[in-house]
Amino acid sequence: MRKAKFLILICAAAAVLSLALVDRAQDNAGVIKVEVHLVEVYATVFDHKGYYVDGLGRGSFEVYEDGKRQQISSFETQSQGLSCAILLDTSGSMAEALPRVKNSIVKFIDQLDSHDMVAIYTFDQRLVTRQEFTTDKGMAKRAVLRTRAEGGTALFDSLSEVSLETSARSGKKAIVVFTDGDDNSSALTANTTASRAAKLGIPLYAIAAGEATRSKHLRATLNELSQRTGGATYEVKRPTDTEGVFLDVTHDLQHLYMISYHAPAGPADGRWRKIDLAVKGMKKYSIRAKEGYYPD
Amino acid sequence: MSGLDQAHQAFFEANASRTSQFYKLFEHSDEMRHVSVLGMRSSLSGFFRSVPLDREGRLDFPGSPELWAVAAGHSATDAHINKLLKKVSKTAAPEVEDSVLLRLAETHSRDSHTVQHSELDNFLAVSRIDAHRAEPLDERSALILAQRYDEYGGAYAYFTDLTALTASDFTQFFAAADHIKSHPPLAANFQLGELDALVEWICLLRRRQAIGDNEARKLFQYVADHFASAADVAAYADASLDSSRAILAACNAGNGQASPDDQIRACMLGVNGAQLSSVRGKAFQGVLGRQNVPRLENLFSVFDAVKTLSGNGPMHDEISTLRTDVAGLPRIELPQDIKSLGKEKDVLISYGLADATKRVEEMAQKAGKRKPNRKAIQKLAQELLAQLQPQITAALAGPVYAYFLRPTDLVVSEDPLLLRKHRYFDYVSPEAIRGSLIAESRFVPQSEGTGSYFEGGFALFGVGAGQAAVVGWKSGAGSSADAAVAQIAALRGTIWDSLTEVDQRLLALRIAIAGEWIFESARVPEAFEALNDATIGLLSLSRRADLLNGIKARDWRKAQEAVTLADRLSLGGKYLEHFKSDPWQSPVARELREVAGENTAPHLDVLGPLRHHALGCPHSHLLSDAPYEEYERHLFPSEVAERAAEFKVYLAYLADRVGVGPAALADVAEPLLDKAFRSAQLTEPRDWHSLLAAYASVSAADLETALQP
Repeated sequence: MRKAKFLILICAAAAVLSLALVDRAQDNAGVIKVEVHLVEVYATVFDHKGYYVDGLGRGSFEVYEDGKRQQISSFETQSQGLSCAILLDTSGSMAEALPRVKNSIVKFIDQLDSHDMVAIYTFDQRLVTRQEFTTDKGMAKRAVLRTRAEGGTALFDSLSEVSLETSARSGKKAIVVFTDGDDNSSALTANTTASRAAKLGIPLYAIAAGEATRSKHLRATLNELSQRTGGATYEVKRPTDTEGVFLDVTHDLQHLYMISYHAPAGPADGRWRKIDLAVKGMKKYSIRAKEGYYPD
Repeated sequence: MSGLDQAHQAFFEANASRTSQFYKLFEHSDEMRHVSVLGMRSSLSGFFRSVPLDREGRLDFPGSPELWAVAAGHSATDAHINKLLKKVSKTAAPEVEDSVLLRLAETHSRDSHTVQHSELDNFLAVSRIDAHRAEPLDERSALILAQRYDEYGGAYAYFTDLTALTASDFTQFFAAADHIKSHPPLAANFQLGELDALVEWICLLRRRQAIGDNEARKLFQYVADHFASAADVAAYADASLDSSRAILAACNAGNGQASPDDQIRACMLGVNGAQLSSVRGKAFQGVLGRQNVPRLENLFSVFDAVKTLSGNGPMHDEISTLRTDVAGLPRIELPQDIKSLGKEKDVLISYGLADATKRVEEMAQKAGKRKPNRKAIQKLAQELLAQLQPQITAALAGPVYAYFLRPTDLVVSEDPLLLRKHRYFDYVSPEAIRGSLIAESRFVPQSEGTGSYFEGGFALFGVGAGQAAVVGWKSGAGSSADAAVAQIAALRGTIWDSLTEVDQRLLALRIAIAGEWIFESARVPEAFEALNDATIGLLSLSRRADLLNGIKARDWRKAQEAVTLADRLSLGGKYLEHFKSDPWQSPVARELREVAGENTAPHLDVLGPLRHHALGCPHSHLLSDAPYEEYERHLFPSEVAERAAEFKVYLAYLADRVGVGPAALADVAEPLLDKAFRSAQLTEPRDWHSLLAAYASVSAADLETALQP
């Protein structure tokens, strides 16, 4: 086990997969719609010294929604395959940093398991799919190496779209985003993006560099995004830290559990649902995940 | 000149004097001096391409040539128009039409938004309306439109749909808009939204041919009359609901029992497309749901109850109806930071229903008294109607949003306030209400405050919707946002069910015969000569040289690569014009003549790009355009994007090869476009070559996969 270097947040990540969409104002009268929500909770478990705890089974976890215990319907351990979307800022300001970042991402891809899938997206003022989800690490690395820096920064639009696209995949998922500057080209607001990311609940690992580490507003947004999804935010203070930060993210991803349960039936009032996650008999363990969700 | 089609080349080169005069004009233009054309509405080269010519190649002045000798723009009172018309009657027809054109080109002005334009802009705008009409504009109509262009040019795309309007209709519409100008900005925003939405309803119904030209005119008159005479806020609500009912009655889609919400969907999409089990019907309803659009049924019910209360009948039932209907209107969640939002805050708050609910309760209280004060209740009912005006605006604009947007568009799915943030004019700016009140639609992206919104009316909303749809749009390398905007706008405005299988076959045969024509030109001198002529103004000089030299050298790859699919389609059309009998024997030529003979009025225009820049209209037109290269040099890539928005041609051609009918294309066109864009590798935004290669990359297997349920 490797010691975690960052603040441990005790919360729970949740994703609500709406299997039936409900139109509010213009519902078709006479049609009875049944909503079934599957809530996905991503968790990383640490012992009292801050070391990752691996090897826990389905029976080790207890999950509660609004204080009521829920039955776990599926469970994936840290050793099972992951769909990891990498979203790389290639706006003009990245010109200097990009070569180093590209090398770090290539090494990051090498660290993923052979059965993990990876997709490469880049964004400036637009979102570009460089490589769809693949287990072919060579293709993913070539896609990274082909990128170049130009244009503005549409972080929020790109993140929302990648979250939506990644959410359609089954199994464990994660998004790693690297950015060096504040958003200046999006059509969606930070709040809208945070709200969507929280609803989808895919753990977001945000890596901020350059101007992004100096912008209070952006740092707060990235922190909110990662906390609400059960991911984490990292800062690259010096260019030479880049590789180490990506290595930290790799370790995080390698110790991720996914627990899902069917949301209890209740009124579609959009009210906050609190989630508590615990490891049976291990009160000293801390769990990083999201603390609840707003149903869609 | 090489970039113009044959007719325009012939016009500008008709004599040395004309060529010389227009060359001098062009030589000294900003465009030629490489000064940014930012802010210029029309470029001179665009003007040269767009000058309206009749069948004999003469200038076709809307109204009359005399009119354009006196039109002066920027002043539009009735008195002034009458004065100008008198002047027109006394003006002798200019001997040389060039003098009129030169005068128009040399008269420049700036409007309140510092947009520089010349009288040519007015002239082209009016001639584009004229070109869409079966009956040409009369002098008075043309003059009114020329004089009001500065102020209301943003509404002129409506008039390319409403082609039976007369001078009095235009006058009344402008009077209705002028009347709105006299109201406070926030109220004016809602009133203008209602007016724009209703006119766009009529346009969409006309475009689908759900109503006839004269019926559209009558409805337009009805709306304009109501809005021009509306005395207060309640009267605008009254005018809106009454007019929308009249439009639904004229369309008469679905059965008489259908709710107004189902009726408008059927009117806009056609009865089949409107089924909630269809992809299109579901998407339409999805947008209404995500944007929390109030149901027309509720608002009509409120309207009827208020009308009944104005009589002497019993009141309790009506008040109970009002209570139920107001409770049934959608509530919206306001942003947490609403207090910091200025005028936007006031607009969003006005969608709240607390005051309307209070009015209903006051009415119930008064009606419950032993001797109810009927007048006081009637007054409260009118106040209620006025308070529901924002809801009425949203209910009328909602179906227009649902027509052009999709629930999967990121800004629609993620921002439930998008519709309610619409700025029908820039009400935030105090000067705006005195300026151009009706602007063309555009999407304003912003990540600050309440976020992005649409601005302007609904004329050309398809283009604005394209701008919104590309938010988060995933593409391949290269800046292709403009290309995506133009192509999405072209797709979403398409009425697919007007395209028949015979049309599709005709398209494929035209493309095939063009290929044969190129090949046979190496063997048949007559074919080569004809091809030489037919490619003037269709291909750039360099591609034309590649084609002709390739044929001579039997370098087939070079020759075939010089023409795009759309070029072939255009050449295929010219084949029938050039050859009354086939210069070589071919089953393709035989079938082409047969199909063209059966299909004398094909609907191939459906497959063209949306001609916002070229024709100022919201329709697809398949034109024989100037070469792509002519558009490359513009500062902004939107014109070349419009020119190259040819995905529908590729798709229909592919469908014919696979044996899929056009009816099936509506649901798969956008997913396949998405696939094409993901594979696009543009070197820069004007790289039309790579864009067309991306369109061509969609395979038969892709189409078959997309068609699977």
